[in-house]
Amino acid sequence: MKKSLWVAALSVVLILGMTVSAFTAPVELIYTYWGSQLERDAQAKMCREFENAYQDIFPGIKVKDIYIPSNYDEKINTMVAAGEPPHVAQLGEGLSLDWAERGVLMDIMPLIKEDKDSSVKVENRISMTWYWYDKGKKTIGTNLAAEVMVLWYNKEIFDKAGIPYPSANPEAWTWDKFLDAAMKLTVDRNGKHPGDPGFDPSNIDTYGVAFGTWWATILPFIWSNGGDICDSEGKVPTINRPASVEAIQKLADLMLKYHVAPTPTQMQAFPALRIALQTKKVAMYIDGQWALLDLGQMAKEGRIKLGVAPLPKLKKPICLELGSPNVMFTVSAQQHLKEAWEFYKWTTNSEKVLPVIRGGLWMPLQKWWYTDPKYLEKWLDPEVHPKEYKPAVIDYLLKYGRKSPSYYLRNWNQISDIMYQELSNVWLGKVSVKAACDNMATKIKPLLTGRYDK
Amino acid sequence: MRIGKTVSTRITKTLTYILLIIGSAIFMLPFVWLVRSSFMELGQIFIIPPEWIPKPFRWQNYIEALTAAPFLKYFQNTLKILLFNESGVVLTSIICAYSFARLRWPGRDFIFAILLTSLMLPYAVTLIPTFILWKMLGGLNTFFPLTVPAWFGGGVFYIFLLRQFFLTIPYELDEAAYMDGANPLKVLWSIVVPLSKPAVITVAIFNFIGVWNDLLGPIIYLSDPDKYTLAIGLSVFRSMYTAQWHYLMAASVVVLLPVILVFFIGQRYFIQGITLTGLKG
Amino acid sequence: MAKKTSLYSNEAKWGVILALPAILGFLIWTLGPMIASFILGFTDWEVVTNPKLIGVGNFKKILFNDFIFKKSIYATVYYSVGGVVLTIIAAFLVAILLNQKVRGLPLFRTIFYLPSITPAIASAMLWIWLFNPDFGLLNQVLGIFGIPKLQWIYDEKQVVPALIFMSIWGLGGTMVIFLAGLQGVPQELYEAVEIDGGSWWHRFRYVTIPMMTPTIFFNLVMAIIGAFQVFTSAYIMTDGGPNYASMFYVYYIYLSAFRYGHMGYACALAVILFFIILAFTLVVFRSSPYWVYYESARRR
Repeated sequence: MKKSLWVAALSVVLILGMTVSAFTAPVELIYTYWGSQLERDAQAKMCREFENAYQDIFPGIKVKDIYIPSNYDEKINTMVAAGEPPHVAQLGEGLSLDWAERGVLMDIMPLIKEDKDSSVKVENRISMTWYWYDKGKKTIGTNLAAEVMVLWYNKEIFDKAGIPYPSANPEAWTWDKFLDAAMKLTVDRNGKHPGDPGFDPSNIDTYGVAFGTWWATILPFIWSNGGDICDSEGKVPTINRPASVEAIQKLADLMLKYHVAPTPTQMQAFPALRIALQTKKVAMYIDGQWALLDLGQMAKEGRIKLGVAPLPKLKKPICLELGSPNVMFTVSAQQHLKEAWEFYKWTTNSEKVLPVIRGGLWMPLQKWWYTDPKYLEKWLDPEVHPKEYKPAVIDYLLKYGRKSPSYYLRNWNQISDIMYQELSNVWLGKVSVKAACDNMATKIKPLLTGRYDK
Repeated sequence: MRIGKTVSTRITKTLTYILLIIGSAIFMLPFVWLVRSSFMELGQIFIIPPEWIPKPFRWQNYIEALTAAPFLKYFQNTLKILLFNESGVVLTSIICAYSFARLRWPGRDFIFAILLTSLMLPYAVTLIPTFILWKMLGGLNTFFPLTVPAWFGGGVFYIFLLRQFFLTIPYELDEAAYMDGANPLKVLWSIVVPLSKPAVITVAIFNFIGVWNDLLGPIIYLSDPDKYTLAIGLSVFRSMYTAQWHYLMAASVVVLLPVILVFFIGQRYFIQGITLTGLKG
Repeated sequence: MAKKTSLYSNEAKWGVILALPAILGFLIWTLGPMIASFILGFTDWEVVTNPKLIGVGNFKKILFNDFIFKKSIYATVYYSVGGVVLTIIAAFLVAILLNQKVRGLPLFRTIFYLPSITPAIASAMLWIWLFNPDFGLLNQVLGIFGIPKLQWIYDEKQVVPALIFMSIWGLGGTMVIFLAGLQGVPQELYEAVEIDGGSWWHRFRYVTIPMMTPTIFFNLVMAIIGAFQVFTSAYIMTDGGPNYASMFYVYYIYLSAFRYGHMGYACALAVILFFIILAFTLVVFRSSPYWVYYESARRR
């Protein structure tokens, strides 16, 4: 009798001990991310702060932050293929939803529903930053930050030419006004403008505007003109419909007809557009708002009089929102779900990465940053952010934001690569816009297999 | 008119110098570019037409670049990998190449051809299977994947290279040694290797450079930042949105210097090795 | 006294033992992944899925339904043929130049070797300037000779020749191997030609070239294997453009694998490349008895 009592007691103790240790074994979360030194330092700091903040709740918790400065895709692929993905990671947007559908990434909708933390509620974040799949029922989360395409300009050049600054009101800044300003600001080495007799397009000193020829600078204008790459189901190409063709034609005309913008070839003469803006080689240029990191620094040092404006509208204002998601990998996160979830929320709570936001590289995710004066003050650094930043960028996103196809279109990487290649001959003037768009339509047709969120 | 021997030699010499100097000017361009950019401000690097004198002369680039990441630690790690790797490559490639060049055994040439095929598949497809292999062997996040294979021949490239060189050495020398009772290993070390100094040095130099600059291997297999190597350190300066060219150039120059030094010293040992006198008859 | 009868078996024993590291190395680290890649070419594998055998599905798609494949093969073969021939000839000539008895030879040799060890990222910027149609050095030089401006890497017809031209800068490695090979040419042979009254051309044609054939053979095979796998210039400088003109094969494999996530497809592409490279290599090997001279070749 006594013996069996002992055995029972011992077993209970053993089981209790194992359960307790299972709950209290220190957890090490793995987080992978990319970026420049600023992001590296900010994210590393964010991880350390998480460890400190959660020591009481998860004793011994550690975050192993793996900064991968190069070859990120290869590294993540190998980790995933070998069955040891990180718990939380930054991920290229192209394959994320594909992986989500296959269960490799976690659907965090159930976790959001259960959680009281308002920073992660769907309605509290900029809606365009969410990645939806399974007909919009599931989500892998949002970007690390909101990012949009804007128009940067050098106020000094405008001052000298006596031209009014681009309007910060997306409705008022029309394409015609934009083209007009560009023509007045483009000047060749003899001081002539486009349209003047004797204007020499091969000897331009200052260009009115410049833009890279990737999808993010082209798509907003296609949308603004009422066109699109494909229909709303993501199955039929519409890139060669008149509205789309017209928009691309207008961009091509900037380079080839009006000579107010450099061709990609000519742009190699100044590989960094932000430098070109500062050295007055271009008066305006289209880029992501993230360029503020460098431009703002230059402005702070007094080396440039910086201005920012929304993109000029063709038919209606559109603000392209893009980015890449932070995700949780199912295999790893499931094992320490509570900890991984808290960490996930931490990484996407913009408060925790304030230096990067204030530096201008990232825009915050939570809506209250855009409307609450307290948060706006925390965000905007008057020495870095131009004073028209609020209407030109913040409100621009809030009112006219539209998410990039990377959030929903299947085979987006291949489609955008095809766009890039096909249009490359348009900028060289070798092929008409309509012909290139027809080619694109044919080539992307087999790839248009629908959307993740419908 | 017969041109005297000294005159024709002088003409040849002058012509040679002219070609060398013109060629050097052309070939020095990338390096000069690298160095001049390393002392410039970010903005000045991009001015077209390029300016060749940094204004202002930024020595600070070097200090700021080298402190942006723990380069000293990266240097130590790279050195550790290098020592283990280099010794393995030089040693085992010599031995294996000797076998394929001078010893006869069944299947030798066939097996050599099979080994050669390992160079014909690009890394993009072999990356994941190799990674999984190393995971099974427990080599992840260690230096093993970067050093252990070096001891297994060091790669077909070097074996092939040495094999070609060994095949140019007359076999009579070996025969003489065998007659004196030597075994193949002794013949290798006392006859073949001394006559192949240029080739061996080439292998050593190439492998040094390969290990020194290897970016993909360390990135894939290492997860602890304090195990990172110099090549990874350099990649920090070029990220998704921005590239700090001035720092990249400065750090690249520093990382490049040992490589230049190794080559400069090594090529001095490229000396004529073979004499045939005494072999005929 | 060595026993003649067991001499061969003794030699064979030594041969196998000394070759063991390479053989073992191949069996352990290389064979597995190679076979895996081959088999995976016959699967539908998206990295995160389990590979599913689909027979020749990938290959059918590649050969009949992939417009990028065709462009890619064309660009790669074009680059390889042009690049290999020019690099080998140029490297050989430079090596001879750097083997003359002149002062400052170590310095000259290092200078010619420098571009091939300068990091690709750093030189890429330089080359983008050199190739600039309006301000680049190359067009300025051409201008001096009255030749009209070229578009270089910005024109789909000129991009591959431009990249070949750029690759000649990187002949350092090939050149060094030639240089090492030149050291192995016995001086007496040169002296014999001189004694017989031969000129530099005779020395070159009857001594240098024949004695260098083992090295030429090596560089030729390696150049072929390397050229077909050209990657960095497309990855860093041209993104495979304009209009796919520089979409080199291995760059396309890389995109398929890591950017589009079609790993099985990428493996199938690699299998095709493998056999192409193998074919070219075999041709060179088969031809070697006709032109390669080994001082000590010991066949069976």
